[in-house]
Amino acid sequence: MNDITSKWSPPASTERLDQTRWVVVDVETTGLNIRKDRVIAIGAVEIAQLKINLMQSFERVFDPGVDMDHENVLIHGLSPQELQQGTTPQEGLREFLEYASGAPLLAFHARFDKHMLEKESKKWLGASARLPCYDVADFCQAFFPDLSRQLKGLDAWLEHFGLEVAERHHATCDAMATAELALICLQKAMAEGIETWGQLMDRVNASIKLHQSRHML
Amino acid sequence: MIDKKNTSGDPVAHTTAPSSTDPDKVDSVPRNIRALIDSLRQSPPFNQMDDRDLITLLEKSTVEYFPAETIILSPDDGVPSRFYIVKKGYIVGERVTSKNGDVHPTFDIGPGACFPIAALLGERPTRTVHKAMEDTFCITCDKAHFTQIVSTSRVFREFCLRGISGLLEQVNRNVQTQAQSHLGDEYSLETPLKDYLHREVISCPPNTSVRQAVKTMDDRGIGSMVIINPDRKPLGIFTLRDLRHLVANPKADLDAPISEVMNKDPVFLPSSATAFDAALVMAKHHFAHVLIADDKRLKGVVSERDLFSLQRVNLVHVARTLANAPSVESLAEMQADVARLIQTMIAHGASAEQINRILSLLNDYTTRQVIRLAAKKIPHPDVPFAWLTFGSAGRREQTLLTDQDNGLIFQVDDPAQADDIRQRFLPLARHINEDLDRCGFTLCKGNIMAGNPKLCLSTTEWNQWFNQFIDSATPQNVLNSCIFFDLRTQWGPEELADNMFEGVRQRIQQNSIFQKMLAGAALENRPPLGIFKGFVTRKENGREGVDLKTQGLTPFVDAARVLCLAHGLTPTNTLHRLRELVQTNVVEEKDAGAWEEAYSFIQLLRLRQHLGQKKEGNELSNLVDPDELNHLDERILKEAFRQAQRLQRKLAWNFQL
Repeated sequence: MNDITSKWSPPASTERLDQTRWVVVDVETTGLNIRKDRVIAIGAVEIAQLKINLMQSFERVFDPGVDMDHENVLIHGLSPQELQQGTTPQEGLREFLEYASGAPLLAFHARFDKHMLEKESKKWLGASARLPCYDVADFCQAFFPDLSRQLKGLDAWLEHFGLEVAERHHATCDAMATAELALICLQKAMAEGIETWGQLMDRVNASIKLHQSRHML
Repeated sequence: MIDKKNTSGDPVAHTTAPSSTDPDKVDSVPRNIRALIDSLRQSPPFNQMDDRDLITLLEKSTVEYFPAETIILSPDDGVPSRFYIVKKGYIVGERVTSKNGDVHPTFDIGPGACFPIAALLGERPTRTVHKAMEDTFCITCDKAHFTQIVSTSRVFREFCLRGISGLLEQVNRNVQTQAQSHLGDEYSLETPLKDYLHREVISCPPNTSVRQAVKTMDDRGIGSMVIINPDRKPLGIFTLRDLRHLVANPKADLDAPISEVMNKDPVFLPSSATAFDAALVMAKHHFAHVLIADDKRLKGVVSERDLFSLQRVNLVHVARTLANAPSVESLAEMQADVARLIQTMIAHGASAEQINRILSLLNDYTTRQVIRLAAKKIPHPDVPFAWLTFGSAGRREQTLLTDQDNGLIFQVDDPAQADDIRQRFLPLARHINEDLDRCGFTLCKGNIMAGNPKLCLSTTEWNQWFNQFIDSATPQNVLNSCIFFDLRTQWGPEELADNMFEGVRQRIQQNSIFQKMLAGAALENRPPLGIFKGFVTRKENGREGVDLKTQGLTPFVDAARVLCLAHGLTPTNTLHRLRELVQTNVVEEKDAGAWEEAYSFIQLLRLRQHLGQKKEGNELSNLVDPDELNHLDERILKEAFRQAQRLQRKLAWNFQL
């Protein structure tokens, strides 16, 4: 298990966006408490050369090994049976890190997914993980600043662009919809002349700063 | 959903499909792929492909995003390298005409549609620029993978090879099978007559006595006897109806040979003809039996009862009753039977063309009987005359919503008498117009009726009328009067109109200015497609929709008419015209085939709508709201309108408009 690295660097700032491989991820958890709750499913899709690569779809459900509160089923939609048939968290996380290996991760409200993934990697794999995780919400704000004043949350953005989620709160389906939203942002970036990783990060960070300063005023 | 067997940790192997032989393959597909399969299932050909084929298709595919205004594919790209299925959004195909650089939209496609099939199969650049009109997502794969699916999936292959015209055909067929399945009845009008040949055919030689023949019929419990020569060539038929006449005749000799009382020269059809053909023959000639013979050798007999055993109202019966109706009142009452019959026919799988033919046949019977009854009652000049019909009736394209467009032609030797004779015909003509109105053929608002002195003319006057019209035509009066060029004799000697119009046809053929004007008029009714998304609807009587007649059928009717007149061709029926244009190499067979299907689809949609309205007791209307159509019909209707656009472009090009 030592061969797994859960720390990797973001792409070089000169890397072209149309060459970048991204992994768009969504985790389902037992609840929203970052400290206590646990990951029970990971869904991910790959964006390479600005296309969603369907063969590289990743889907794992974890068997948490303990009985779970019934009310949580309502959020993540996974039945106890489905969970019991899942892989162990060790195995699932290891496979995910291998699958994602090297790619910058993308998620909507990525802080939550990043935190859960890093916490669980540490717990189950003993690896002190630091994942290069980027937030599609930040991308949306950077490239659609006017819309971002009204649109809050993934559902609002998906609805605005007419993107359908086959099954909301199913990890792979959420990841797929998030990836489509990410493609919209990335194509907008390309259309605005942003071609490299460095330019993208500059633009996104500038937008984050601008947003924060507005909030402080 | 979950691949629980895969514990190898192989990052790739887990993903979509472990291996094609895995029986759990379908269950182990990630949920996002499953969702894509479900959405593909909304459209042909994917709705007929099994899970395995679809998984194979998707596992090597990607999802790509094209913002609005992006050119996805263009002829300049050379042979296309990828295959696309629209997942979300809307794409138009634009073709630049080489002549003046104008851009024409040739199609627009939405979710479920695929492209560029012909270019990929033909290994050639596309002819159209494919442009995203709104933000669009496509499922795409490379050419090699597309080729693989074509070779492994029969459904996909057939779909690709048939192209869009196949799609139209499929829908036309679906409409019929659907209707048929509602009735749970295996009977179809397309059934070949050889399927009715399960009974032994009873026949006898011509010298058999009537008594002997009738005894055989009685023994075998049959209603007809066929008389044949030693080569099995049918010489005649003797039915129970003939026996009735015989018995009623006190002088009849039952020991005479049957050849003396049989119906000679019986009508026969080959065994490859259909039940529909047989029904038409019966209705037309008022026979209850039609012989089936191949190479003039008797194969069997089909009776009216064989064909219509399951129907309460049948074509032959309705036709016979109309033709012998004793009064206008009874003719009017029978129109309800006609509507019911048409409904049954559609349910039994009749095509739009068949329905049009049946309706025209029955309307002819009604009209002729109205004329016969009126002519008995109303005094009129004793010169040859005929009843002409124009427009949809002239083209044999009637539906349940029909008004009158007719005229009267008569022959006089002395032109000076024409006016006097006309005055004496007018009371009869007006009486007929009114009686037809009572039978449901509403009076023509534009007064295109035989009771109008301007349309009750001698052969010479008609010829002058047409010639004058052709020589002094203006775009506006051409537009209002082109229905006169779809004329047909509905009652009376046909040669009156045929001889008169022959000269007119030649005159049109020589007058390119008039042809151009006709073509211009044919471009007036544009199919209701917008540059942008979908249909351009209009409002009529507070309802919104597209007009299936003027916006859908008229472009085909007008274009076929002008092309035929310009080439001196005689048919008046639109489908016949298109076929004749292929025969004379004016249009390509492939194009005509697509136009025929498009036209037939719109006509069938219109007939279905009329029947629905009639059932609900609503007024008949040609307006259809595209939003109320199912997804497939809507797509096909759009494609059918697009075919109308293509035909109009051909017309504009031919006549340099």
